[in-house]
Amino acid sequence: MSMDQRVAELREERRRKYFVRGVAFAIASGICYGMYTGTLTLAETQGVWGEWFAGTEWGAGNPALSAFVITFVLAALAAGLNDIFSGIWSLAVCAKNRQLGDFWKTVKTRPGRIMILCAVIGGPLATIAYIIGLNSATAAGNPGVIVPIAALNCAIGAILGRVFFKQELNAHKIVGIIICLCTGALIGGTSFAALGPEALLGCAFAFIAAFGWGFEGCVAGFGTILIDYRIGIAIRQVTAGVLELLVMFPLLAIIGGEAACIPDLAAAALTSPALLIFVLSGFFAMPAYSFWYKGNSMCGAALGMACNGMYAFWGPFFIWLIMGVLNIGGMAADYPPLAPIQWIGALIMVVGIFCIAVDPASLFRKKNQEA
Amino acid sequence: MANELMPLYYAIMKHFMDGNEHSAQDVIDALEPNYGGYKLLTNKDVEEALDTAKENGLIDESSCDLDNSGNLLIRYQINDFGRDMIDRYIGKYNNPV
Repeated sequence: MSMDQRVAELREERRRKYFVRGVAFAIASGICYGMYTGTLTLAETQGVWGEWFAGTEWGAGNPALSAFVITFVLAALAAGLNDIFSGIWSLAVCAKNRQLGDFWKTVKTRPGRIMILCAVIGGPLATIAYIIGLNSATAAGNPGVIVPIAALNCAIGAILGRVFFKQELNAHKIVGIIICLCTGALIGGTSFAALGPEALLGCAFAFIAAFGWGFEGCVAGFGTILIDYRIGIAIRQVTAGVLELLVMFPLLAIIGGEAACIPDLAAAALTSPALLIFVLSGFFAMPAYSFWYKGNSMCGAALGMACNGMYAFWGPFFIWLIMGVLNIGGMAADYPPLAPIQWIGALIMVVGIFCIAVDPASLFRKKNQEA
Repeated sequence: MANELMPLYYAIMKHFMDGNEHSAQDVIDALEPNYGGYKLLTNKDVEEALDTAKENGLIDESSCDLDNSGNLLIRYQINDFGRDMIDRYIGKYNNPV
């Protein structure tokens, strides 16, 4: 074998390894996202959280919370606890890699500030919009409807990647994105016919979330070319957690005219044993987001976000596994197995991702060359 | 690590601003005096950083070779888009001389 051939071979192998590694990161992000959603859902049924969401008296005879507090204020509190613990885990990883010096220096530079902006848009704004959307759609009896809308973030991210960073977006990628969106709808078990005004409100908030995450995935993904992804995620989670707990949580309570409940809720949440489950959900949220950034920077926003978008399947899957199969939390009856349509949807989504990743036309060309 | 150095990844990218072609090992050799104590200044991590920069269009592969032990040796060179991006986002950060 000539030297040139050997070089070409090794180069092809390296390219393939890099590609597989990028896709593996992006898919792992979706799985971790499911595990984090599952544990967060569990946390919100335990201890004082269970009493809050049930709308009953809580603690030592405190009156039931208002609908506003349950919908908005608890959303910020739960997201904040999850993200702040996730931030602490992320900092621990940086410390292990002796990156804390670079972490602090990065925060003070321009790419670091852009990462903070991504955290503000994807964290407090998008996450809380998503939880509000979820809660109002649930109240309308149609929680599934917002899943495909929030999953639009992958299409929005791909479009923004094209506009901001000249990432290519050709026909097969667009087809793949559309397939993923449709299956998201399928998995969500949506009947758009049954939409009431409350569900529409939920959809509007879910769209805000989709836009926020689309922006974040695309910009922060690109940002992790210049910033190590472990540092990037530490910046993201610390920023998001602090803002959600110290700004959004009290702000939403004040907007709802319930400022008096701030200290009671905070104290109850911090002393509830359920806090330990938030520590765990934060642990899973760390790779969910850091692999998302890493995958997006390695494969481009379109493919990275489509692989991550499989969380539309992994989310319900892990909720079922943790709370149904393993019966942690003791409410197995409320969490039946996934419907066949959800498994089928997941398979079709894999086809969609494949369409984004590989140009079918190039596959045929290769076959012809070999023949 | 209290020092005046810019973050490692900035230094990796800025090393290409001289316009010459560099392999991952070249970058490590050049940064070793300042960043020798950094845990992530390894061939694997730097290679991945360069692959990612290439994938996102900041640098291009300029030549491809085998090194003395028969391993693949890829050299990269910055392009106009990369120069523009680096100037714009991390242009003003420099290490003390």
